[in-house]
Amino acid sequence: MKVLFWIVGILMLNGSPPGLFICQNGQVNFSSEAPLELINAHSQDLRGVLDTEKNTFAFLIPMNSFDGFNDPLQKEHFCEKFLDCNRFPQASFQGKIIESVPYDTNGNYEVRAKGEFNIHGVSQERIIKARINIQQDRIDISSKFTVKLIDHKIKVPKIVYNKVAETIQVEISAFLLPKKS
Amino acid sequence: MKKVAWIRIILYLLAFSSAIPMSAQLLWNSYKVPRGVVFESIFQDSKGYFWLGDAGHVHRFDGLSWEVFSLGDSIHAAVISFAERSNGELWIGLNNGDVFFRKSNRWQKFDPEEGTPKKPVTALLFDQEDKLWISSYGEGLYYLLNERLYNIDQTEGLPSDDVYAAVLGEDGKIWCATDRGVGIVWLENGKKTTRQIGKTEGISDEISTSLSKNHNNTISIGLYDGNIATFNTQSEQIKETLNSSTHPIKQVLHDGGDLWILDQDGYLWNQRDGEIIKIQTPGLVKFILLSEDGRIWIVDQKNNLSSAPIFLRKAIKLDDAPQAICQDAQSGLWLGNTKGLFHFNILTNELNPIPESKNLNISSLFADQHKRIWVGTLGQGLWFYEPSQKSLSPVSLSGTTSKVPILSISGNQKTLWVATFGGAYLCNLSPEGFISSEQHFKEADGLGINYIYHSVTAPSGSTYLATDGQGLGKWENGKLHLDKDLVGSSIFSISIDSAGGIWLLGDEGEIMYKKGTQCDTLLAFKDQQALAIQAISPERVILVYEKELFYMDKSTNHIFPLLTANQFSGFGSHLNVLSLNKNGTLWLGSPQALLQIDTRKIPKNISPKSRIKQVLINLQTAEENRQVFEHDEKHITFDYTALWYVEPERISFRHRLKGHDLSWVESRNQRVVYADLTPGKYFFELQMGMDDIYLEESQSNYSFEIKKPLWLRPIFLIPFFLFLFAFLYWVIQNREANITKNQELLRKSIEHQFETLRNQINPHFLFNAFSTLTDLVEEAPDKAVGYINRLSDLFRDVLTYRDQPVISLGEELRIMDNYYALQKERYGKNFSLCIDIPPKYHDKKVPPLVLQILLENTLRHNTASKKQPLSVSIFIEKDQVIIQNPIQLRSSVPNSTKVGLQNIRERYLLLTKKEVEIYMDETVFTVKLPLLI
Repeated sequence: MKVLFWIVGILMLNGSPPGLFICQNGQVNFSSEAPLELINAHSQDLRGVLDTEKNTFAFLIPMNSFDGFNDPLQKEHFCEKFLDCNRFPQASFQGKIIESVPYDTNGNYEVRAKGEFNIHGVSQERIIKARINIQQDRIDISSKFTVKLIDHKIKVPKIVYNKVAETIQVEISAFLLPKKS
Repeated sequence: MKKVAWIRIILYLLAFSSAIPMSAQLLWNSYKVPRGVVFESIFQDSKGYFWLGDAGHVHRFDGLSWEVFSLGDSIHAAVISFAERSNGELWIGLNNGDVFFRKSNRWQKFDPEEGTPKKPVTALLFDQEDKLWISSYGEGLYYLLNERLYNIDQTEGLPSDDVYAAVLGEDGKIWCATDRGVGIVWLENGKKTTRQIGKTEGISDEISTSLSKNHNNTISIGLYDGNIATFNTQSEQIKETLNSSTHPIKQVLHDGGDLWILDQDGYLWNQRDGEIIKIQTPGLVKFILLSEDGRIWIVDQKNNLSSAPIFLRKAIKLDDAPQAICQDAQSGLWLGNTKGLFHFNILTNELNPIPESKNLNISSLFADQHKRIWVGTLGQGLWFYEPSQKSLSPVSLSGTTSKVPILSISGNQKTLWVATFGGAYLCNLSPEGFISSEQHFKEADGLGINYIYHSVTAPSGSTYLATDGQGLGKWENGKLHLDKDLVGSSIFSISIDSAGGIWLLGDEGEIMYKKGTQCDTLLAFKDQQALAIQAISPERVILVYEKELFYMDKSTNHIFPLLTANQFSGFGSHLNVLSLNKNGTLWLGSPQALLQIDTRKIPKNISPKSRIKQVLINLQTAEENRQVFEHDEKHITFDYTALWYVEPERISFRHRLKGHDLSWVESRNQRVVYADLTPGKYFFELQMGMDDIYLEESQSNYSFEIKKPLWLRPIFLIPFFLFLFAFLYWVIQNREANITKNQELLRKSIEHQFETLRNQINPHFLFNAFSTLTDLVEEAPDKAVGYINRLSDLFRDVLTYRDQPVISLGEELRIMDNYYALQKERYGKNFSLCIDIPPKYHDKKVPPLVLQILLENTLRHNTASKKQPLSVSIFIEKDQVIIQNPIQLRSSVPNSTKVGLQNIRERYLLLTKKEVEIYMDETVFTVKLPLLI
């Protein structure tokens, strides 16, 4: 929630500091490759902010924005049983980028983002590799990483054990535009 | 005269001009290195190999040869850090942040999901839980937990993200040297925990550049200001700060007692007893390493690799060979030679002549407890020198032997023993230390000879004398006697260890050990003149020979050179020119130099090891530890080496493949090929040696088995023989069954023949036939002839076919027709036969005479009268011959053996699986006979 306030605050703030880039509708895909079932879901609602001055970032996504499950019941399970979306409506990742990125130089860079990854109300420190492409007034970010259910205390009932993978593959693709003050 | 004396003194000074206090010299060995390398790091693995990091490559060195491993064509960064995991896996860190590890003989990139640092990996560590830690210059510290990489940086308590060095403390914590002090990092209940040590904790400079883990719960921190702070990890306090007042520290290492320090300018220093001495190196040094075998390794700025034993150093260069050495209680060492007595200050490395003694040719020295130096000469008698008075006084010994060479002096508070070529003198000392009385032991006084080479007085007061040809003399409780076991041998040197064991060195180089009544000759080096023996502990001795210096460990039976002829000019020809002090420092004189040996720092086990580098099967590298080979993997190659860095050129090998070789095969190669081995168990043994003296304790083993081909293995053979047996059993059984069956068939057939014959000559049949014949003869004689013919045909057919198992259906029908015709004569219209068998079935087979018997049966059981005519029909249905007749049973059935049908059935059983079917309802009797092919 803190992250949300922060992002919202930044977005609402007038005359915010320079060097802020924001993302309104980034794409997140996840897939769970379990022995018995392949589950894919995606969302376009990734929001975030990147402070190029401080080299820090914060991203969040509402959990109920995910769509594309194999059937509606699965989405219900996803939200209610596994992730408890009512109590923990968002997943977030905020921290800083380890590398110093030359934001004023166009180009493609591989960076590592170190921060707190929160899902299902459980925070984990993570280092996540990402590619960023810096263009004039636009930053594209893409990343692939994994989330282990056990790390975030996401419990899967035994009966669907073979249908949900222990490690979920996540792909992110977003573009950020400078915040106009 | 005076002038000459002055010139002499000047000459003395010139002779020892090199005796100016100067840096200590180690005895460096240089090794050939591959061309074009730029070494950035060095590491010794647990097997003893050296690894050197280069740009994109690592080099492995075993003393004899180099092996280069490429990390990949695209890798150009330098390898700057090494670590070995508890399972022996080697890990390396690169200048660009990459991390590689060696698994299954291949270098693989460490590629976690989190990525690796992009800054130089300054250290890799595996902690007590085998967790990997990576320190980087620029990104702080990383650790790997549950396959995830985590980072600890400045924001989390690390003093700086620029970590120069990291070590694992004995407390299990990671110590990091950074530009802003030392950081200590550990995980407490999985949580990152840090602590910082800076100026407030007492270190003199925040910039710490290097760390050394010291094995005594201390860690030494090398600082930019040139100081070294030693931190106690238990009390968490600075224990001491060593002020090197040198340049910024680049590397600091602890050898178990003292520190070795490399500064940024490339100079090497050694801290010893609180002093810092500069160590002369072959070149300016890039980095250093201490190895397990007690050596220091340096890579200089020209990438040359050198090493030297840390326990041995040249204290000072000498121009004249010393003939005697003794040490006083005030850290002074006294040397005697043909030019008199010299004093050597251990602390300042200063060597000064004693002018008063310049005319003496000194051959033995002894420092007593009154600070007096007793001086024995070659033909100039006995003297003593009092350093406080600077006075040299002669001592006259009784007898005419004052011109006799004095080879050794020993003693204690009360007595002084003087060993000469004219016997031994026992001098009793007054409380002031002067000779009050003396006793002279000569040939006739129990010694048996006048030549005494060495005398040693034990703390107990017992004195041992080394004689020429009469062995060991022992003075004990006021009596002198010879050791019976040793009479006949000449002894040059004696040493008594702290456990009371007596070590002796004979004139033929033999080493003898005597304890209690037990006396053993351990071994002998005959090709070198033996000079001295010195016990350094109850099991270990130092041996001085003409050309080489040896170390021997009796408990393990190890003996090998500490200094070889190639490295050192030799030890001359004077006996017992050495002195061991209580701290374990052994001073050893040689014609060229005074050597200082820190015997405490000689590692307990520095024996060379042979190593099997790899095993090739059919010229392909086998997986590590593979021991079972297939039958076609019979060309086995062993690549091996030996790890002995003192003088690798002298290494030779011998090997033996038990199961193939009968005896050892000596070799200077590093490879042996066994071609075309037969299946079986083998045991490969490899030993290394020096100059063809092989060391059993250096042995490496490799046992393996070449399996027999599959068709010779029990797993195949047992089932195969079982199967074969089963098959044979089946064949025999089958044959038995066939024979039985055939016999049965024969029996049935005979039975049938008998039955048929019996039927044919059935009295009724004959009677009926004859009565019919009688009628015919009377009524139609012409028909009678035909009847007789048919009758005889029938009998002939019966006789013809009775031996055959089957006949064709056509033939059978013909026989039956004959029979029918005979009966027809008798029954006339009362009996009729209706045959409906298409000719295509005539070739099918049936047992002979079955139809005839069935027809006969029908006639036997049924009436055929005018009132009830009997009509039998024979036809084919589904490959069966059907014989059908209405049931009109006779009131009285003639005698029947009832074997007819049974016999037919059995005969069919023997011929086919198809059964003869017999149906009988109220009106019809049917027999179905299968047709045979």
